[in-house]
Amino acid sequence: MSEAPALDPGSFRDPKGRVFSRNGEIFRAVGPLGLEGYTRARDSGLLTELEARGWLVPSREIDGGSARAAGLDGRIVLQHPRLPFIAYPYEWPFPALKDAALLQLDLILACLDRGFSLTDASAYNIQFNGHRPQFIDVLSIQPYVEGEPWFGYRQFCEQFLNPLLLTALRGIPYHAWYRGSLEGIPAIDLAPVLRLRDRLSLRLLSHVVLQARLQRQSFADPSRAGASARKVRLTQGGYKAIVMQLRDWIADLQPAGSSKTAWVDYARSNTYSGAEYAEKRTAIAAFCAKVRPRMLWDIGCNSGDFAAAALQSGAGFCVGFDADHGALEQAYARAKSGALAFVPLYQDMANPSPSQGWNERERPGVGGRKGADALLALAIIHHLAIGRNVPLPDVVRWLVSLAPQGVIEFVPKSDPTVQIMLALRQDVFDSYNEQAFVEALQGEASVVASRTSSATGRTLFTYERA
Amino acid sequence: MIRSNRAPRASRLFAPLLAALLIISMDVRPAHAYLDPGTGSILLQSTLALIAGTAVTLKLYWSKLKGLIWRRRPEQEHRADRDE
Repeated sequence: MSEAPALDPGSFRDPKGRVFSRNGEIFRAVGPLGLEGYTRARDSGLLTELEARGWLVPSREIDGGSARAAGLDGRIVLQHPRLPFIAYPYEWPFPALKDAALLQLDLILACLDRGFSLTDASAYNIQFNGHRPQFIDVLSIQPYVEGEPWFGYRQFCEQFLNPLLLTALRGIPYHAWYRGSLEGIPAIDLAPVLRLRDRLSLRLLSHVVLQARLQRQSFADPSRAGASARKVRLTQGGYKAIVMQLRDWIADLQPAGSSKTAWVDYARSNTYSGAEYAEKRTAIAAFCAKVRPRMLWDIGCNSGDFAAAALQSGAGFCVGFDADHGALEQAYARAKSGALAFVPLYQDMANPSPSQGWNERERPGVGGRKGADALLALAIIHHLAIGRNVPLPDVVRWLVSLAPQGVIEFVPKSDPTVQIMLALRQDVFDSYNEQAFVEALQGEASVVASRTSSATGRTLFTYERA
Repeated sequence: MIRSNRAPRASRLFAPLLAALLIISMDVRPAHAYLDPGTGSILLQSTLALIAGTAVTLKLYWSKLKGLIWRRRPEQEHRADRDE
């Protein structure tokens, strides 16, 4: 039985088209306002070219009959392949946001060369299909009008440039700020954070300090500013120069003090011996070879070593979550260099991304984006149960709810990592032990296998939900 | 794409001058969030185009000059171009 098409709750801002899903397939109905721009871009060959480069999510026009059968109106209906996972810029590690920014700028240059421009510069229009960023909003591509300013410039600054600068210049992660401010970080808010020595760069002075100042002036005298803004004519050469300058600048940005954070050295300095680590990797590989999950979630993915092992052994796609920025940067580099179907994302598992935006439905939270066939939760349980005081049965119930089967590692109190966590705290965790863990797990699923994973008493439990 | 790190560095010479001008003319006014702040960002673009255009032109001349100087060693130029 086929269902009625459901409007994507995040697809309402741009009146040029609407995104629908039906039976798991993704459609885009092109509205009257988007029709001319779309057909011109299509007929020019630009869309095919961008798709061939892997920059643009492919579109296929479906015929009127099947569109009507799908309950879709709109003169043209496109079908897009369904992306494995939707993630948001406030979850991307620094190098991912940077690559997305570079893609956005490259797209603008490619479009301008063919007589088109982009109507906006929303970071939410980019998704990671594996290690590669891809632009998903084909209707943003519209014919370029000679002299038009870069309409998406402010949005580009707020959603790409300013968050990157915050981390690159001041070492402040942008994630919490960005998650709380979905439109990004305005120049007016970023400017006061900059030091005098940051300001002694013409690029920073013009794109941040001067922009913040002009925005303030516009607020103070809106009618005059509006009249002047309507007169701004930007030559195509000037347009491209701005984009190219930003591209050069962003390509060189690195997180400030990006050396070691808590988990970067995990693989070397954790409480495992080398042999135990290799054995754990083998166990994960064996699990994935048997289950062959289409979508694997790796909670506490660190630098992605186990995710890589899982992908090599039969997992189709892996989304990794971690709260450590350094580890995530390494994981992203691993995904990119190995061309892995692996998307590492920033996530504090004790406070995961909520459903937010308009009507609290525009950007679904982690719980609203479920769909994993299998789960890895290695060396994470003590961080939630002891580090964050979440009752052990609650942690187990939540983990098991994420996927029908998986591997969860129990880390006992005797483990040196837990000992360090408890060194300065009162031990109020009487019910934190392996027996209580197993009981909680058996309450949610069947335990199909268990094996000791370290001499310190860590154990891997494989579960299967009924 | 032709890239060189020297041109932006040269353009930084103007930064203190512009900074001084800005600081002198700085006035703090209350922000009223009822206007789309895109207006200020659009107003900025003529200035940005001038700055970026100058930088691109300088870079172009710089790479031409470099091309003249290093004509006998073209492999150097290739390496610089690939430095993305």
